[in-house]
Amino acid sequence: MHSQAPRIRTFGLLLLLTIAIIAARLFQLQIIQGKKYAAMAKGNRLHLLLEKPARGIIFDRHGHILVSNRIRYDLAIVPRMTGSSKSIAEVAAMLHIPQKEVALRLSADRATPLAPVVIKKGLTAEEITLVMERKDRLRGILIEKIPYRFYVYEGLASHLLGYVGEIDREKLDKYRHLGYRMGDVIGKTGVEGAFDTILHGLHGGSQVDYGSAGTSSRVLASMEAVRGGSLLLSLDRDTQAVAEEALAGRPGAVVAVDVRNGEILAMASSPGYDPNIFVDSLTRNEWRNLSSHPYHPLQNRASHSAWPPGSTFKMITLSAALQERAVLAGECFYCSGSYKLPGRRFRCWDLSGHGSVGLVEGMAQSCDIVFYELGRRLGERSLHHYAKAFGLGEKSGLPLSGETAGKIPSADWKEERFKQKWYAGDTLNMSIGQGFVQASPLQMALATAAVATGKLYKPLLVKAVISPGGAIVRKYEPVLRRSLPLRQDVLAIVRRGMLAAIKDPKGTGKLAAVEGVEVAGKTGTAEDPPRRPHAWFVGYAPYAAPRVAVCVFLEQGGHGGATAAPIARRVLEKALFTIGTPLSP
Amino acid sequence: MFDLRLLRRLDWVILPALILLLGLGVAALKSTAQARPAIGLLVGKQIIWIAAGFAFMCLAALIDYRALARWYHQIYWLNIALLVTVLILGHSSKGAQRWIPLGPFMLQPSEICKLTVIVTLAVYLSSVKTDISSFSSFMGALKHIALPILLIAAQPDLGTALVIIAILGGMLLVSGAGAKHLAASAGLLLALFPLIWRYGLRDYQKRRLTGFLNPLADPLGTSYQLNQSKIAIGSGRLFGQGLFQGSQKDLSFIPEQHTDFIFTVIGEELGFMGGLALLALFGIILWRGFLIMTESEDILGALMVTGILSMLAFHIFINLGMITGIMPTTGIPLPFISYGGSAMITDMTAIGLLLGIGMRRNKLMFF
Repeated sequence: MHSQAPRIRTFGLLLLLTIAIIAARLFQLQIIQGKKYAAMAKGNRLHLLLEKPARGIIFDRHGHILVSNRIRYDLAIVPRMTGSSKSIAEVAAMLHIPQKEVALRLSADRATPLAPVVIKKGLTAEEITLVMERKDRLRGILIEKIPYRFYVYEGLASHLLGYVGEIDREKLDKYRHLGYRMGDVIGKTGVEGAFDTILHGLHGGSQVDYGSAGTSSRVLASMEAVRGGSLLLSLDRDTQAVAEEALAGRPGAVVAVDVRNGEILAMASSPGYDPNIFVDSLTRNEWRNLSSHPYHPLQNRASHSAWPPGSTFKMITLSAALQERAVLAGECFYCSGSYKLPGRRFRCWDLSGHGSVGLVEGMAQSCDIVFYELGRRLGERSLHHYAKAFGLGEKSGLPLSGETAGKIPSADWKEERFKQKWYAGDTLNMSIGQGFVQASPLQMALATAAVATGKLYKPLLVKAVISPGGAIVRKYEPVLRRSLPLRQDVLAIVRRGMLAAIKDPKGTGKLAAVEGVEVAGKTGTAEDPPRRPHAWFVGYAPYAAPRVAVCVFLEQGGHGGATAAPIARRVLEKALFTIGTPLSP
Repeated sequence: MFDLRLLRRLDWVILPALILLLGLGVAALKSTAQARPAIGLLVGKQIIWIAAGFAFMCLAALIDYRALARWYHQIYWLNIALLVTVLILGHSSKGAQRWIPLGPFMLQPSEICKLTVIVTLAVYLSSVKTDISSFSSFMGALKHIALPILLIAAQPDLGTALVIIAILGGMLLVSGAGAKHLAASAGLLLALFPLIWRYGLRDYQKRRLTGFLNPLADPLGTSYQLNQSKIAIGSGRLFGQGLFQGSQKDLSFIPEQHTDFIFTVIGEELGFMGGLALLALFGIILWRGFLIMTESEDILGALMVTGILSMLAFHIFINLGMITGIMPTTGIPLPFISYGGSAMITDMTAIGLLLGIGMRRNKLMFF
């Protein structure tokens, strides 16, 4: 090591230097400037006055504002600064707040002793004037400007947009480094929750040194609050409104998508709620109304819950059978109204029987016997495979948390779950979308769009992020999940069957017909004995050049053709108009 | 197995200084806990960490450091494996992914990495057969730390990445690496800085880094925190307010007061004299370590000690520099004082290694 002696000396010197520099700095802070800092410490002179940021705006696809902010003025007290309780009493009297209430609020737990405590929210203009006139005498009394969330159309798209509330500990720890603070309002569900880090914005505020007497103040540093990024949704306000109007408070859902790219045009879950009530804390009454409502308004029926899709599933069974060549395009079946398995008889919904039916008529009239036979020929594995290919049994990739995957059963799953083997009857039930099969209206809408185009897309809900200055800072492009593993001639027959369901005099979906546009669709009536069946309708239009696919679901809504199809008609009409089809420019 | 005669060569000055430092740390932690009951629980935990640290220290002192050279490859790659693991299934918090949950504990591989870099780099540098000042051996050393540094920076754990660069710098300096190469790489690092700044750092990291120079960069975060920290320390003046008597801590302006900002309590309550005492205790450890380094029997031991001293000195300088406002905020704890298990065990193990090398110094005594 001796050859390195100068190096070692240098190293030793460096070690010494680190200690010496810190000692010198401490000398400067504590001895030279100590008096100044001691005075600042004693008077609690340094304060941080925060300005809350406004959240970003949420727009629909045409730039209509769906969610924005309003401003409220709150009265707050910094207890350490007020000095005497006299000024607190004075303010309380001025604003007619009971002394007891002030005391209660002041005793509550808070972030730091220097954090302002809100004692009255939403001051009127007169109250603000009253306080401002006495501002000089009332040290430690602040009027805070608080932006708060405003849902312009109240309950419109409530499940999709979500609601906001005060940040909890866990989220605070997670996002503190992004500038989140205690007491912040953050998105809890829906778009508000999933895109919170974009919408949230940055706090502004200033560091203020209140001089020794507390009369003069000096701003050491400050910054403006920065509003959060805004979101441009794919949603169309008007289609959404029509969908919700058509649902009319019945439990159910409507999803409409652009078949060309998976953009969500409408996603309604009924009944809804007004997210504005969450902005301030919920009153007891409001909570009771929400929690004891028989239809559970907070449940998102469009994407977060799944039901047996009934006969709407037949578009998948038919695709599978044709692709697997388990059936010939021209094959004919005879429906007597029932279908026999050893030891068990399965019925067609039309007990008198459809007589002799081909594939296209079978779809149009939703003959169960045809699909029992196709299901038997295909078997459980093949049905499972094709249902998965259509995106059922897996999350579609909606960018909101809590989406359901639904359920596509298999023999292994049944064995595992119920310790029972798979019966031939299970396959028959599966082939008409009953039994263990479950899908969300969103999944069925996307699967229908896939029938129309041959392509399964990920739902696109947010099209772009817009900066407070109005520039597009991020664009979200459509994401193709897969092309359906089907030949063109297979899809052509399925589509013809769906067209016939609307056009054919005997079609089950006639009530979905839109004037001047050819609609293709499929009804579904999922048995749920002893209660009323669930009503379904899926469809797309225009038949020749598809633009919009829709799925309507009514929980315990009766017959799909009678109750769901008319809603689909209204939604298709609106959606086609709004995204500008060649037929209705 | 373990030769008891080695104990005669144990450095009996380091231990008392260390124990005083640990005591000071616990007292400071207890003082911050006065204002925040949640921290009260941490005092007991910290004492457990200290006990565990002593166990690791003894273990590290018992192992002959020369034996570590034989396990060179295993140590190096185990370390890489841990760092990869944390990136894949680590527990993230505060925007970084640094911990591997191990039952009730959180293992922080980047802490272990400091020690493994010291040991393996010392083995590498002491085994270089050709001229140590040659370009190839210099590049070899850089290659050696490139992978661990990249993995740590990816977490991202900027602070630890810098500590490892400091360790490398100290060890290259002492090993006799080419002066030209040292200067050139320092220059290169500076030249690369704008690129790292542009592409390698997140916004909140940038705000923190510049906050100490420019209050406007982060007026509501770093700058406010630093001003409060300076007020607390400065108000301690010569003798402080007295232990447990500080008034600034209960303002809770500092979210990390029990970890990175623990010295604000010492500064306020024990004043300049307390600060000097703390620096003196650190100084004693560095000084005795320096003696062990110069008297070490072989280059391997000397280089390991160099790495350990570089690590400790860098921690002390950056942490105290940060909270007194002359260094950027990087989240580096104060050794033996800040609350935290991983750092405590790492630092104590390092001291164990240091003592072990000291016990095996060349001046063997035959009586």
